Amino acid sequence: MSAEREAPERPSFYSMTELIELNHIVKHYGSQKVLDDVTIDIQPGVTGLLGPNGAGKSTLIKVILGLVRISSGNGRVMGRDLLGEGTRIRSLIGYMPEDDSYIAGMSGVEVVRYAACLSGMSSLEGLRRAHEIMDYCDIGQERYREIETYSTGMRQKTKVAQAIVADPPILIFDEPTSGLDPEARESMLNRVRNLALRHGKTVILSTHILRDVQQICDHVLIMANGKMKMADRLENVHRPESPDLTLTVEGDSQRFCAVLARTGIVVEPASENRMVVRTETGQLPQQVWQAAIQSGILIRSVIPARNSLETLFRDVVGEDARAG
Amino acid sequence: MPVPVNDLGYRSWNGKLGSASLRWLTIAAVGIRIVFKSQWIKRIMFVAWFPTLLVGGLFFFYEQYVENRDRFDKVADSQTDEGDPAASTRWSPDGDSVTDGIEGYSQVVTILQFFAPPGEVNHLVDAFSKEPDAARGEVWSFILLQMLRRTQGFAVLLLIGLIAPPLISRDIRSRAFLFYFSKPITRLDYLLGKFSVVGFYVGFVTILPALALYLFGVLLSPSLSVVLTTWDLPFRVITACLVAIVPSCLLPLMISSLTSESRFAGFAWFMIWILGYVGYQMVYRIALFQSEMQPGEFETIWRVVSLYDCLSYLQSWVMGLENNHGYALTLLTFVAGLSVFCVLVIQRRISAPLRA
Repeated sequence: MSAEREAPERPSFYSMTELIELNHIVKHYGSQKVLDDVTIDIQPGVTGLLGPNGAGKSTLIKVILGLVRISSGNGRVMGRDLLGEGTRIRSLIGYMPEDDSYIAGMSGVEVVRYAACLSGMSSLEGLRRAHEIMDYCDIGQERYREIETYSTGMRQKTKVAQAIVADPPILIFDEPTSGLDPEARESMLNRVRNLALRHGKTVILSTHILRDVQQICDHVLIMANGKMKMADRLENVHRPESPDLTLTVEGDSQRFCAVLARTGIVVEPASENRMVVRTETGQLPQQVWQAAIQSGILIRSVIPARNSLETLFRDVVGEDARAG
Repeated sequence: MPVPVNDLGYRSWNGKLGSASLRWLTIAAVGIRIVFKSQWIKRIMFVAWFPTLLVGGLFFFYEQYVENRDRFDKVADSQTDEGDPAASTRWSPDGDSVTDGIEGYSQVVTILQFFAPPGEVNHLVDAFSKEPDAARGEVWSFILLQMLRRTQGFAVLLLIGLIAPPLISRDIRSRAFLFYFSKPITRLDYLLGKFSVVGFYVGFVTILPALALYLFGVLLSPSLSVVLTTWDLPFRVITACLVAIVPSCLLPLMISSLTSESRFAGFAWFMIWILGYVGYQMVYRIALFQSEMQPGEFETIWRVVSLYDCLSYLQSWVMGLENNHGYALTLLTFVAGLSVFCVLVIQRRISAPLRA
């Protein structure tokens, strides 16, 4: 096989809208169906992959990497067929596994260099690139220590480094913030976001931490019981079905509530000075301000209602559990 | 405007990646480097060359013998005239040498007795008595085989026992499979890489010294024309070594893939080798005791019990010192079957964590 054939083409990130396309993927392990008719199109940006344990996230990742043979369905990764081009697909993807997956007896920099060489870089270039990436991942002199002696945070950074060392266009991070302190977590998320925003990487972030998804993802996929329960942009997920407002007021809140009720607005008191207001008319803000003037109270804050990802996740997963 | 001394931001990489068909070499090179950190491996490799020096002495002896052959022939002729015509070239393994009193042949026999197993001394003495140009290939084959057997008897056993067991089991324990297989390599690359790690070290103490011995023999011989009569020996040596290396490296790798505890894999390897050897020796001794067979004539399928004896026989066959082709092919089929079985098990075992 010639070097030219093997070296992965690096198509312009912006020229493709569907980098990963899976159609009706079914995967059985024996009699157990672990992926059930999964159809997704993963687009540029950061995509959060959510799901409870056993939902099929890891299997889905392995399918994308071409590591497990699917029972039925088809798919493409940057135009490469999932069924017969596993090796080529893996040259386009950098994967950070959730488990501590290291080579015993090697230092951090040797592991990253090894990853570079396995991706096809020469030994010398691999070493140069490993140092460059370890600088980016904020791994200092510890890089020369054996990897078995690393703390959880250092191991996470090293796993990220080995995933991105060959500069693949697609990155899959499995629980990258697991076991990190708040500062390291923030730094890790910034790094992931930075790779997507500034360097055009398509990132799939598989995690249990909903806050991470809310913080950096553009798209969200929710899986349960091997099925893709939801796939949408995060902003659409957050958009509420009804335009509720949460108000904080100062003054006679009971009188204010009474005025609101007379105008047909539903009021749900949350505390002494807080309430959620709702109407079907679509004129809620104007009606609220008029009622405030009439009742002579001061409105401290008006917060438009948002769907919480956590609530949504619970609803989607809970619904599936009930159905199951 | 301040100029940054070192840009710690992410930088893209636009280089060209190498060929996928050579990625197993990366796995092999890294494995070899890690193994070489062990002091024990260095010591064993050092000691493993001792048989080469010892057997190198036999090369020297043979070539000295060839150069001074006239003196030996005169002594031998005088003895032949006096009585038994075979006496000059025969030696009985029980020590009752009929060449007693003949200075040259006594020395030859004594020295050969030191190097060769009892069952094969006669064969070697016969070869010594032939014309050098006709016998050199046979004698050199014999000498090279002695070197391989001695090395395999201890150094190869130890080297494989120390190197192979952790190679896959340690990856199982440290869950390194996802690290490997998320990269653009195949399972075959992985297996080939791991196999090459053991193969490299075993080859270093078998193929390399055997070829060095051959070169030594060529340099010691009276004329470089010996290359014309022994040109096939380097190829036979390499083939003979590969016949031994492939199954004896794949078997411990397979055992290694069955456990995450490398010490269990190591223990299993030594037990298979040692118990197999002891078991076969018992069968062999009993058979010799019960029959009138000479050592070397015992050819039974039970030889497959002992990997050492099985591979030794095949090596003798490859070197042209055994002529029972049917028996050799039976053993070769067994060894090939064992190797294929090992490959299939390893492939299955390294796929298992990916399915989990």
